[in-house]
Amino acid sequence: MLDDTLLYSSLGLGLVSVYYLFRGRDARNITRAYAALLMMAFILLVYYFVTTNLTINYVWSYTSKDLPLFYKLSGVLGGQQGTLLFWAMLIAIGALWMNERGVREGFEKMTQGVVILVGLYFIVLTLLDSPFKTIYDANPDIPRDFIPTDGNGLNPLLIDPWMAVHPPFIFLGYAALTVPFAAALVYLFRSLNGSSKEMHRSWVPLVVQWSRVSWLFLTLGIAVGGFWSYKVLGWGGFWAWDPVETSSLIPWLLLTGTLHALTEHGRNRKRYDIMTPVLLGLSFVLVLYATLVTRSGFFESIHAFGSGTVGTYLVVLLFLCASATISLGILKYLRTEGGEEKWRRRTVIFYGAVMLFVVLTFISFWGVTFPALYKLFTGNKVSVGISFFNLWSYPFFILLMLLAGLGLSHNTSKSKLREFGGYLAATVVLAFVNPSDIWNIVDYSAVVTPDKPFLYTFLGSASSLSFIPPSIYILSSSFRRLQRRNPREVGVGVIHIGIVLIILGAVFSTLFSQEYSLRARVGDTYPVEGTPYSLQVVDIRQYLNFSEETLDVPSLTLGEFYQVYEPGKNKTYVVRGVAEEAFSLGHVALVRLTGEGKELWVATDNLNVFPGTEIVARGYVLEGFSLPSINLTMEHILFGQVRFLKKPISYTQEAEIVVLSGDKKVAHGVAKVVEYPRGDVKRVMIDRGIFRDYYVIFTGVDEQGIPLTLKIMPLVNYLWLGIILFVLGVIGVILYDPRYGVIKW
Amino acid sequence: MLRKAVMVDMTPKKTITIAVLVVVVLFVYYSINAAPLVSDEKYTYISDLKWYKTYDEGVRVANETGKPIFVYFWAIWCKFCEKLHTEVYPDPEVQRYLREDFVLVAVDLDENKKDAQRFGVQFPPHLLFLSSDGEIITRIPGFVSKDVLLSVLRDVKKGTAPEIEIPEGELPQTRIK
Repeated sequence: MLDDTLLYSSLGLGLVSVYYLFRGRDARNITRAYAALLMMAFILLVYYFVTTNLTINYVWSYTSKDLPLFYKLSGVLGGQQGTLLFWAMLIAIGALWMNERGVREGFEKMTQGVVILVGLYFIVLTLLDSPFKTIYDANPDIPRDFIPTDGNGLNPLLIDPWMAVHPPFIFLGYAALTVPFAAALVYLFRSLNGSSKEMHRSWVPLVVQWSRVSWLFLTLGIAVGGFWSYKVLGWGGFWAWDPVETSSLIPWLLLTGTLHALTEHGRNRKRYDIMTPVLLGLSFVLVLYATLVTRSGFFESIHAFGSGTVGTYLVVLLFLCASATISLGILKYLRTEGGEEKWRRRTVIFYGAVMLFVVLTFISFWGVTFPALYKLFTGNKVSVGISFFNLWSYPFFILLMLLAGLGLSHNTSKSKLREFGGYLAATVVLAFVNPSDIWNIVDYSAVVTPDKPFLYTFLGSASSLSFIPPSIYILSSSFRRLQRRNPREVGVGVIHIGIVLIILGAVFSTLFSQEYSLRARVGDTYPVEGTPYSLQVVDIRQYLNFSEETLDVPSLTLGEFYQVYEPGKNKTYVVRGVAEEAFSLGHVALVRLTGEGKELWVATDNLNVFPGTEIVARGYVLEGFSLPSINLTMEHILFGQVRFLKKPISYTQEAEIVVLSGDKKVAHGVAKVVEYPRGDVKRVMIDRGIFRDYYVIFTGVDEQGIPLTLKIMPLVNYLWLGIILFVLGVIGVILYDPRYGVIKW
Repeated sequence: MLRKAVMVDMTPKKTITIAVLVVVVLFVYYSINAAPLVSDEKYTYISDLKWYKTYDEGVRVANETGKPIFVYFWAIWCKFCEKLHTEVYPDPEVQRYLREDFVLVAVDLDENKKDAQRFGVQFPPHLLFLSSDGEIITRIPGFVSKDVLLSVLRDVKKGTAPEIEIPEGELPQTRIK
């Protein structure tokens, strides 16, 4: 509870700082103290995780002693409380950054004030269910002197380097958007009375830099999540339009549109004067919405984070932020007196592009929201699946791609417009060219669903070939940009090339992925029906994984045992040793225990004993026991229970798999499934290639054999390559943009 | 202000804005109407079939009709369930079995936790077959192809427990849970 004092003091100091900033006065040292206290609180929580302080309820819930340090750290963001504190701290760091830059205009002071104000709300959210609460406070029945021997453990799915960096990326993206949000509100508010001329000089760079950083981390967060899903979840995909996934894409889409508006607004302060700040504000609102979808427990999703406690408070914040943004936008619109410049073609193109981003954002938003609303109001459920999002997004997305090709060509002369018309015509024509049903945007031929609405079947039957002309258009316009000397232009070119690779990789790997299932046994080769491929399981390995720590069980070594052993007396012995050999006879396992050059057989009902494990056996001993059926006679045998000297953490099944095409070996690798007390984790076998990935899913051995699923995923690596290019492009623009870059060129 | 908005002077900006608004409104209207209903207070509608929502209702009907019970555990976010709904259940032969020979129960794991617990089901999809008096015949813990499901349906209908095919030769030792 003492640790909450840090949070309460930070809250108090933050309030004072906001008061001063709103009055236009300096609050440097107070802001520093406010941020420092929050950082201390977060470091303290990290410290509790590193030292595995199990008397803290949050620590107990999301870690265990045997985790490596790296995953102890990911436990900090394992649940709601830690992420809220992290978020609050990041906002404070944003405020601190503005503090230390030292430009002290009225606009900046007020923006900083709003940033801190939002940050304070997150401190309050953190305090509602403090991460520092002790187990004794969380559960009054626990006696004060009780210390748990181990924690509840981290969700095993999170024990993966890609998943470990996913939450920090997402929250960095979310938190970084606080500054543009605050700046947008203040910009709208202050330009209500008087000119925005003065403000424009400081508002644009501030907003551009922070939005780009937020964009970078949101992209990374989403991409890493998709990559992890492909690698670990073992369903053979990277994106499934699940509400939680989609909700992270929604602010990303709007922010992407907003960044396009910002480039034009940056050139001329009167251009998109209202739209830019309003969209920035709404992007942050959508970030809050994404958090609500994840944490409220109201939206039905595969991401079972468990319902959080902050739903109502998030709704309040969301409505406050949304209504502030919208009403300020409307007020400014009403006060704008004519004087709008006549738009040039370029401005119109950008406006169209931004509006298409808005439409795409809305489609995703609606797909997540309306089933929830429908359920809320009628109690009935409707189905909104993958096809809903793909189908509705498709026409707007294609149009957006075409506009991107035109926008990127930097020149809107008549000849360029004709070029655009040409690509548009090619796209429309190709949309009607279907080499086969597989090419359909949504393949309804495989689906026997009666009464599909006309528009759905019509749009669904569009051919994916229509992605080709806009892709070529963007690529050719982007490559022209690469030849410019300006690093910003190069960055923009790289980003768009990345996008095209992402689109082509995603579309074609999804369309042409093939999936086959079969059941195999070790050694034999199984042809995959209807394909040239066959599968062979070379080997299966099954073993338990143990903790480092050794249990302290008073027991005899084998040497000691044979010294004290008294034959014929019905006495109980506790003996330890290494299980040299183990096999099961139905419901009993026979284990040959060795140590100090001696051996002792053990019969037990524990069938989990694997050769090489250290065990302790407790029971009575018989002599000269023989099993004629397997031709085995044992000098001594102990009947009883077996315990592991080291604590078993997980159970691994590994399958070494070869994929053959004809007689040729095309892929080779190991697929695993690891069972933890809290659930299973799969490691898919992936053999990557330039044209296709061989992807084999192994879910463990069952009574009837080894179920295997082979997926052939074509072109999926272009998706990852595209993401890498995209990220590099964004980093390049953040650093080297001549106008807003961090490093001066 | 109003006068400004209705002025005939259509700039590209206005045209685009109005087009966007129209598209959004049409989209909202159309998508709500076109979304297939999967469940209401009484039944669940999957693959054009009508399923009872709880096991208790199912077993009551089964007692009256003497038909075996097929309990299907699903969730709206479950991708393999979607695959069952679109690729396996709509198969004409499967449909015939399900319609005529079984009492159908679809347990929504997000709503009906009681039945999930009762049968120890944690993840969707999960297919459970019971006799008309509620005795468990067999279960399939995951997605199945049409052919496997058909053979199970056939066996359950006949009243024989589905044959579990155990391959010859040795299998690596399986852990017993």
